Amino acid sequence: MKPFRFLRTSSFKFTALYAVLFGTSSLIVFGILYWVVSGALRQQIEASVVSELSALEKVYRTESVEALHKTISDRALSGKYPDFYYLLQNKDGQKMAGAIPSLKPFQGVRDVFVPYQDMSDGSDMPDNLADHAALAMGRVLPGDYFLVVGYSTYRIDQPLEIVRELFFWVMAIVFLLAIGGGALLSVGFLRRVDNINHAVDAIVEGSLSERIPTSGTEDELDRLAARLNHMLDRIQALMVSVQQVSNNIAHDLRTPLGKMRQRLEVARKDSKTISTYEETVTLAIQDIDSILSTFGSLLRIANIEAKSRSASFSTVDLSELFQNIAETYHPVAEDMNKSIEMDIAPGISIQGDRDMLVQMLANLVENAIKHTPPGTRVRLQLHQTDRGPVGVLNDDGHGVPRHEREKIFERFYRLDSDRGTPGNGLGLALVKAVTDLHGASIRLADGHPGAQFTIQFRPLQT
Amino acid sequence: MKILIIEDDLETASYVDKGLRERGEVVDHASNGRDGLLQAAGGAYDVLIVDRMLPGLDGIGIVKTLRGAGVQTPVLFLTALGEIDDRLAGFESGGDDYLVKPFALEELHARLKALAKRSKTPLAETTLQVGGLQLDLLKRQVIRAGRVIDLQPQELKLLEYLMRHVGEVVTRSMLLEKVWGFHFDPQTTVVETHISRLRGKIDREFDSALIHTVRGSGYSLHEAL
Repeated sequence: MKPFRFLRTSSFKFTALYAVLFGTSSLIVFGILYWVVSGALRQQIEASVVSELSALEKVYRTESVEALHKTISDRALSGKYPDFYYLLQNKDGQKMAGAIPSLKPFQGVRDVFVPYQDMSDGSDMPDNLADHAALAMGRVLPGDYFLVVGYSTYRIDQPLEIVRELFFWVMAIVFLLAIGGGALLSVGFLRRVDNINHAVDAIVEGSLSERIPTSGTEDELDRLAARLNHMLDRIQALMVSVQQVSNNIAHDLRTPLGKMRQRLEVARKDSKTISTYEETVTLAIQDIDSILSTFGSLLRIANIEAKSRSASFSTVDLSELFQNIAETYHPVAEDMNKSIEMDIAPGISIQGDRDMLVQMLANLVENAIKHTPPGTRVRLQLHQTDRGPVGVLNDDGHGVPRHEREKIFERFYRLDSDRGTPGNGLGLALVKAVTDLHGASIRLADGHPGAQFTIQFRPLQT
Repeated sequence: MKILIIEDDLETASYVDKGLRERGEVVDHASNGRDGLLQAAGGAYDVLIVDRMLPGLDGIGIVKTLRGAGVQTPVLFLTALGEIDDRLAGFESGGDDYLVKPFALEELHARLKALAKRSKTPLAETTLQVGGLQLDLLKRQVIRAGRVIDLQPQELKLLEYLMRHVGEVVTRSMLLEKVWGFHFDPQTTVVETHISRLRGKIDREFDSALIHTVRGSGYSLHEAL
């Protein structure tokens, strides 16, 4: 196991990707905020610069240039206007007052540089901020005097500096948390995936009863584990049934083979005439035919189960098919002292394989007339419902005990009460295979009295 | 009948060959698809027996090629046990009948005879007549010796099939397939019961029986010899 395996997990990759996305979007949001805040602060400063400039201009206009000179010097000395800087020049460009170095006259707003050595006017600015920029507005007064009022951008820079620092720390913490959290999550995730892998390995090695552990949180991993466990249950059940079927085949074949062997042996020892040999051979062929018929049925069921739906499907007139089967078995039932009634709605069709559906219904009807006592009435019905055609076959015989109703569709399953009657126990297994192929469901219920089979077919799609 | 069997399994081929010769037929054998195709296209056979699974050119390929070349000789396919899709594929390629291995020789012989005869007589006629028995397919009416006989729909279908194969042996499984559409062996006496009912209606009250049981094979409808 490599120590940094978690770096390659999908949960870590997701977390890292999320952190990058989050960082980028935060950066954009911060950029916009920074731009808006600094703009607003500048506007505020510009407004105070404009009003100061107007106030000074008023002094010049109502009094004199000397009064203006004095006002500027007073303001600088008073310390009441710590963030304001001034410049007053005469028409020759000579500086008369203020901390700002002499400039070429301009109108409007611009940034100016205020050097440290010009702070000799007693301003109480902190030393480290003494040498810095100011936002300045110039105005040319009548008589070609040039007046500039500046405001230290320190008032803008300071809050923006705080915002920048804050952002840096927030981002640093977010990234650390994201990477740490991602690693933590991934290690937990990895541990659970490892558990699943161990369980799967054990199953592959052959312990099919092994199950994947769940954490009980019902998260997606748990749901996946539950699904896999469900699949394993199904596989195990199928394995058991496959085993049962092969046991049953072995058993079902041993009986006729044993009988046949016995007969042939007796014939070899005792037969004196051609005709007794012939008789033995005829019986042996009958035994083999019964074995072949069992194999044929098994192969046919397997074949139907392996087929995909609609491969050979066409529209089948179910009403006609039910009618034909009922008519076919009516005299057969009568000869066995039983009766078949029918109640079949006309014009019902489904998508299906006609030959298979014929065999399915024939098997069901034969099942009903073979395994019931004399005098039994069998009733075959077909009706259309909202959910598709429904076929019902019921009899007033002995019925099927509740605990045997599911098993009756298994291969080779025979009711205890039917052990004596001929049959290979595959008829209803084939019925089930055919209904499954058609997406139909078959249910055996108590017919009060007797048995009642209900087949729910799929509606015909046009 | 002149019969060609195309079959790679020599044991099955000789079983069929011997059995059919004993029954008075002329049999040729081809042991692979290529030879079989050449022989079938060249020789004037009444019927072909073609194994579904052959090395090289398989049964379906042979029949498709023959039909494409305009050879209309009836074909009976031999298929393996439980292969339900084989029958469909066989019919689509132009096969006329099929038989699942292993099979009884009586069954094969009866089917071959039915196939060979069918290729000569079209199914166009609407009234079938055997002796004094008459079946009007349009009116769905049966008359024997001037007396109208009332038959159930399934009895009518059964009688029609028997009358179309008058004088031939029809086996139990041929009746199941052609009359009832059953491609399986039912666990009850479907054929026997319906034959018995039909006999009760068309034979019992008359001097001579038309439906005869052929022991070990099936049934045959014909006038008393």
